[in-house]
Amino acid sequence: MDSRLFHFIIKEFRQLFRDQRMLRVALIMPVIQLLMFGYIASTDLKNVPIVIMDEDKTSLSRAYIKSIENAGNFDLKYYVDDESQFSRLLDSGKAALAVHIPRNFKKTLMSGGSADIQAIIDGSNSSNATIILGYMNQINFSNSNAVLRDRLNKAGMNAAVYSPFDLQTRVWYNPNLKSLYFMVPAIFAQILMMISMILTMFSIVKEKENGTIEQLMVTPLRPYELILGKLIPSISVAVVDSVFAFLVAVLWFRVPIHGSVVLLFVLGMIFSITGLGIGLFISTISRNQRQAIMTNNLIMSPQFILSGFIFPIASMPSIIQALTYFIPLRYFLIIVRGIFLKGIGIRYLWDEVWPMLIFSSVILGLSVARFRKKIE
Amino acid sequence: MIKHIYAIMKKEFIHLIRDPRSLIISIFLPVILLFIYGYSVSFDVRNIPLAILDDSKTAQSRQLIDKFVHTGYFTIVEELRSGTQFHDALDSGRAKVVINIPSDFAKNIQRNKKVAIQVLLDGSDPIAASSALSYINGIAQQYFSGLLVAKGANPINLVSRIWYNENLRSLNFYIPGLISSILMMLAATLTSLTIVSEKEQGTMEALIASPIRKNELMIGKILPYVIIAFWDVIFVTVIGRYWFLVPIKGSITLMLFCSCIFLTGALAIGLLFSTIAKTSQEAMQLALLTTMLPSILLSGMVFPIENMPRVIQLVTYLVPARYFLRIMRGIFLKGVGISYLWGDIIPLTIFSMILMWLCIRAFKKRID
Repeated sequence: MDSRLFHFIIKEFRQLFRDQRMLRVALIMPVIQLLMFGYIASTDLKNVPIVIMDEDKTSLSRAYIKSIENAGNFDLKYYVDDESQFSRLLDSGKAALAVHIPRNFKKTLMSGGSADIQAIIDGSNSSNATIILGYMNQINFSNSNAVLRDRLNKAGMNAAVYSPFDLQTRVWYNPNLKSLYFMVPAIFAQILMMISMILTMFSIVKEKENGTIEQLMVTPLRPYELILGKLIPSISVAVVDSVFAFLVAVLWFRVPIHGSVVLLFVLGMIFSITGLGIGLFISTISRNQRQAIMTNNLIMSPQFILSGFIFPIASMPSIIQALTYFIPLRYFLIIVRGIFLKGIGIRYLWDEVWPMLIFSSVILGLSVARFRKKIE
Repeated sequence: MIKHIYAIMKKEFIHLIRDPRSLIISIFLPVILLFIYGYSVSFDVRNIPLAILDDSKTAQSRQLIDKFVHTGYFTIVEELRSGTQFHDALDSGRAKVVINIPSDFAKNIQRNKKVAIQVLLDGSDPIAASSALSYINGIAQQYFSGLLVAKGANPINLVSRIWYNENLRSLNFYIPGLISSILMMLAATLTSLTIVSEKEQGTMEALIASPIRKNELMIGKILPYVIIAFWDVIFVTVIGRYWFLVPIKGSITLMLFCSCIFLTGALAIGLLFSTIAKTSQEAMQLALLTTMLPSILLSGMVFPIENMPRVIQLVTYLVPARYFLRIMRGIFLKGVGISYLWGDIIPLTIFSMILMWLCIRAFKKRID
């Protein structure tokens, strides 16, 4: 068996290296992708264009505007005198927030009353709108507090009472909450999955289309040997890919790696075998390359969203949450983030490792079984 | 010319019909994806696993803890007994937030002294961590202002109104974006095999020998897919409107018109790869890698383009989903018309035209 499998693997390696252009894409694309996507995720907003209508035009209204400016998230782009301008600027997307300070703002406050400030937010981007609303609430809270403290001081009361608590916050693993550190390891995992599936999804279907599958069948190779032979050369490409991506993450993006690099690569290998196995399985159940591509689309595209790559799994409805257990990427994401940022070892990661092991053995078993049936 | 294009179209349709599985997937994939995505796409962070160390164990501290649970943002997964357990709770991932209420909590409240609450956050997920922090802040603020006698209420009230999407329903925001991302993902892979498979199967010679011109071939190859993908647009829009109840405030005709332009461009990307690639695998690889992640990450569907670094912002101009997404959101949510949208429609049209032209240019009517 050994020499038979060995020669088959050699043949597969040759075939792989003959396709230089394919190989180049497989090796270079992940690096380019990582470089691009590492930068895009950011949860805070900067330079939100806003329009202001100040009807009061007093020292207090100007101080309020100043505090909006000082918050650092807003770009005070437009000043208008007429409320009808709001809809023009928001409709065209030139402004995302409109703030209206009413007449008598200062007068009301000085006389001990309470004044309303109107904020109109473009809700068509709901996530930005929530963040903007949060910023505005905070700005308003501190302005309001300042006025209140002033009043209490004048009345001779102790103003400190009004801020009676102190949150002592410490952030572990990623003290500056850099989203880069969160995204880069995840994209690393995502790309590894994509490349692994693409590498093998054509391997058997191509033999079918070229009519060489019959030749393979008459050789004494057993189905599992065939699957192994197809798998091993692709693993080597996936390993090189992950080394590249790892280097980009650590050297270029400077993502700190707190855990064991060896563990990361061992688990990465298991994960990539899962991906390669899915590709192989697609290849055994497809009649031609087009089918393989479409089946691949069907399997791969839901993974982006369901893996927790971008959107938190805990917020999904429970039926969808149940689905996520069938997404291998889900487990590997926890592993990558855990090893990179938390520096945790196998003791904590075991819960993610065994589902991955089951996954890869089931999918490879299915491929072999499916292939055997073909032969008979 | 029409006759030639028709002949190619017919041939392409026969290819499609002969392979029912691919056809069914290409028609239903967007629908499946829309269902899955529609239910799971949300940045609203809920049920954050929280571990609590209550050193105070008083009525007041329990009141505060109750507040955390009632909001729905947090789920208490663990009641810790000592500070030594903090590490284990966060390391294992069981909890993402640990809150420690000090033993002098109730006493300090009674004496009108400032109380300190210790919060530990798992920063490895910065999105969840920053939301958790702002929730905690809000909840604590509420709790303490409830404790104070309302002496003059808030001097300045912020009266906020949200336009276009009054309840900030994130579905309303994501569904129009999803439609464009899903279509982009599908479109490029749909056409990525059309030319290269002719090369691989050796039928290219027959095509070259025929009197069909390059542009006729390309148009004939792309039209059947425009039809399929257009069908997808209608399908997904209907589901978005009637299942997910996303309002369409603008003109549907304009939307369908723009989707035709967009689809031509997106399909032309696949066609271009198919023309320049030597093998199906290469074509497929190029199509998948250049469209799958970019259509989600660089289109502005999830992350706002304005926040990206300059260089990456420039790259987004090459992603047709970027323009289409803005058009879709404009039409769906704002109900704006062509006078506001031409800034996206024109680049989209130019983009599609250039891509078609590139396809025709790249195709060589000879065998090397």
